[in-house]
Amino acid sequence: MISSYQLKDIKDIIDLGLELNPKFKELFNISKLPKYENIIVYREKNKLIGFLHYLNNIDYIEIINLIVLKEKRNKNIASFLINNLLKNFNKKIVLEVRESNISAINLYKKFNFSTISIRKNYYGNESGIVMERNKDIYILGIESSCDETSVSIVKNGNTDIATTVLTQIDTHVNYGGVVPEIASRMHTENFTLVLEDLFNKTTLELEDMDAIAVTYAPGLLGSLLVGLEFAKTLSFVYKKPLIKVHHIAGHIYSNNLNEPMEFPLLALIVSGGHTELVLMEDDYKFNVLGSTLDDAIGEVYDKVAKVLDLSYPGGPSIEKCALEGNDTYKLPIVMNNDELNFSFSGLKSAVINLVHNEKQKENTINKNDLAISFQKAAIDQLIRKTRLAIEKTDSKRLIIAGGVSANKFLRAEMEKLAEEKNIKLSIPEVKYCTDNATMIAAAAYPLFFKKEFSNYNINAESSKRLY
Amino acid sequence: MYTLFISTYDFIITIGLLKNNKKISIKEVKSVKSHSVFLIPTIESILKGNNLEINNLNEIIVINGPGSFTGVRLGVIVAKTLAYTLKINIKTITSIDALAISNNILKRTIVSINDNKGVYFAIYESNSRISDIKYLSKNDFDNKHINESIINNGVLDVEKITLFLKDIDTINPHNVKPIYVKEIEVLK
Repeated sequence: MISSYQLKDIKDIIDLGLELNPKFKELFNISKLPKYENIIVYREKNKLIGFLHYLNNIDYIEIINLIVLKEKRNKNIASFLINNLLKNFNKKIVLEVRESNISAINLYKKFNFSTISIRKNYYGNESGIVMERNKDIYILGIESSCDETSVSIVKNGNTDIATTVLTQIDTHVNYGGVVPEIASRMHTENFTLVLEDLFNKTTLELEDMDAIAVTYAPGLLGSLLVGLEFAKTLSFVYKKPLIKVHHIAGHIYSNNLNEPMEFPLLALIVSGGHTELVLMEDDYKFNVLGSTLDDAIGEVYDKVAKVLDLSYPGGPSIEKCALEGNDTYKLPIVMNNDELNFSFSGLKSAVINLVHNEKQKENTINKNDLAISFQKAAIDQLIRKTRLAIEKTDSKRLIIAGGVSANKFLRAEMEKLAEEKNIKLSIPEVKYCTDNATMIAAAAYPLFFKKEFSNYNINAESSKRLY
Repeated sequence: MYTLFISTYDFIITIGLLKNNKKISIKEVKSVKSHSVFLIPTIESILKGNNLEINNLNEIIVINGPGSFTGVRLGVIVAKTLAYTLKINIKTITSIDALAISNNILKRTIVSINDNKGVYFAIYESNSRISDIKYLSKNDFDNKHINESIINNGVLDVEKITLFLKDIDTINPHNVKPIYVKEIEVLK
């Protein structure tokens, strides 16, 4: 139905064009177009229904005419034609449309065109609107800071085109935690396989990428190095800019996969290494309002899980037990003050002491009950401090980021808090809460426009802070 | 035919460029715990120095260990990614075999390399290896192999190594792995 024009189409094209513009024949008076010009035609049962005429310039496409037969309008034929153009070219596209042609303008807006200028009275007493659609930016993300080997393609910093995550957890669970040397070994064995799997999921190719983004910090040094070296090699072979991304920036920017973050916003970052409240005024502008004085929340979950003989990682296993339990254990309320800092070591010690004391008395512990009592106390502290930060900063938007944001109880409590405070809340989809390369590619997008590209002599940094 | 030779198993990164199995350029960079800083830049500069592009390469040879775990991994990930993306042949050789081949060994000799705690080694005779590659602590090695002929931390001859590998089959890049020899605590 859709094809490039042939010489025999020219008469039909002119006839259809005349419907729109009586001068069309004069404007279009050649029988064969030059090489840089083309017409995509749409036919139904051999009858020409619509066409899209464009100029293919070196760095942009210009749409000259887009016409659909009157009685066939509102049947998405124009969209088919535009989609066909987008499929064949990833370039900037410009066009000009009469200001009265509202339906066309709305259609172009749907395809992410925006107005860049107005040609006053271009059509006699009517102005022409010049619209532009920027080329799509594809970034290949690479992540290997811990025990997930992951690659992903993200379009325009917000659309996950394809992602592959290979988790090593089944191996590490045998050792009760991630063994760094084993993690590095598995990354080395698997990265090319994971990349092949990724590109099997899409028609895009590595040549289509605009940049290669990689986690360079923080994490397990040996694991980071394998991913970094893999990324440098791809960047070198395909001559694509290399963008280094901080893992925590990745977690934060995974919220752009929901909808674009609007600043200023308050961010709660909760993971195995972080527990922080951060005020973001703009992209990559972080103002830390409070952070943990001792353990990170994810770390405490792991330690409590260990004391309760639950499997690693602690988050999911404690959450699972908590679902079956009743909140019967009395645990201390920590950091009940006006500060925005966190502290979890007191809560952790209380749980450990409780378990030891009960063991000494030869009492059995109800793991499910202790799991829910611990979880409630830990999450309660996050909620209290976040509420305080909202009040202190008068924030209107809140995002949650980091591995612990996968916790269902935390998600539900945050939603309640957002409702209470009438604040807009964004939490990444669960699949983007754990480590993945999608968030790394998403976080690289603003850096791409800032042209923050790296040389091949950058090194991985195991404990570098984002802010 | 251009061959890129990559060795990263110790604190010297060796990058060699060969044309039809003849050495045309070699770069050695001393790198203590910073192979990532030097590896790609060294490859980039050896190609540039010979007016070559990365896609002029036809073959990769990489030393896949044993030696520094991290060093070997970085050499291997770069080598296999180059071979995979450029769709060219890749061959691997162990550090110990590479040193033995570089030295033309006729009578029984131990070829060894040290790390900070011990010794990787194998025994060679008439230009072939007659033992597995093993790892022993420095004391155990010294006690066990007293009065034997030993080549320790020798120099790599990239031409001899490339020639030796001429008739060896190439490997699917996905299957290129480091060999570690030394066991790690958790796996013991």
